[in-house]
Amino acid sequence: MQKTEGEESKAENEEVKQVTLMTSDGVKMKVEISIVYEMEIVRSFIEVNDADHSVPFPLPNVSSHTLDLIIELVKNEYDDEFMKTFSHDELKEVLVAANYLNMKTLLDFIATAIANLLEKKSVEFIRNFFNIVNDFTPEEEAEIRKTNEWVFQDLDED
Amino acid sequence: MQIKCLKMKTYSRRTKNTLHVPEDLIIQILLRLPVKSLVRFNCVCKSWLSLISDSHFSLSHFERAATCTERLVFFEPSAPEVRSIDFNAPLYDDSASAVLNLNFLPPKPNDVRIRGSSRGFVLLECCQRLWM
Repeated sequence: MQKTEGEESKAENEEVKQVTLMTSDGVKMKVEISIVYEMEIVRSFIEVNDADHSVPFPLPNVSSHTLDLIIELVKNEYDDEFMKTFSHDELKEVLVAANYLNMKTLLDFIATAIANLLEKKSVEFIRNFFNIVNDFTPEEEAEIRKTNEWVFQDLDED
Repeated sequence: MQIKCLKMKTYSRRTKNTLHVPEDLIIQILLRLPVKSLVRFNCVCKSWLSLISDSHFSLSHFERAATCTERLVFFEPSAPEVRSIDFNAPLYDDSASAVLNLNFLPPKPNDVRIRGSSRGFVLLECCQRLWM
């Protein structure tokens, strides 16, 4: 990577250019600029302001744990196997963070992964996954189920 | 402020499935599901039923599905059947190569030509007539 004169003279003259991000739990994390550039929300700010990269960029909606997961996912070029180790909460946290950070590739990847996970799951599993309260009466639900009984066959175990 | 955030984090880690996913992100997930799953998820709750039944949602779902598949239809007069092949399907997917039912054409058509195709419909010319 080419460096400008100003950056050469900086005290922290790293091999790979990094940007410091400040997570919601107050952790300062140095992240490679190639990864940061996937985060449109940070990228647009850096590009417009030509900011001093040593000043932490605040991410009040992303925890250090979620940012760790995101960095690993991007480094591993969105590896399915790595993502399969995520808990349900971690999947949702990465989804929400990808949307907030405006990371289009990650958002598409994680939304597709969650869709694949839910595709053959029961209605009860979905309610539990998204923490949704069933507001149908038993009669109403039975009525909807009756109209399309075939869609309740061949499901995964919860 | 920092203390508040730390508290929230401990709370969300300890309790499971409490993270709220905004509706626009739930829509992003639903758009990627097949119709069979969507019909089942109609009875998750009232807001999902109205969302999935919404015409704008159906249209977006259709548009997405239509742009994601690329199938090749191949006609060969000497072949016993006409197949449609999906190049983006995984190897183990049985629907990657499907036999097309062309019973509506005259028996033993020997001069079928593809005149055009759009969104899964194929326009055929056979025996000086057009077929969809």
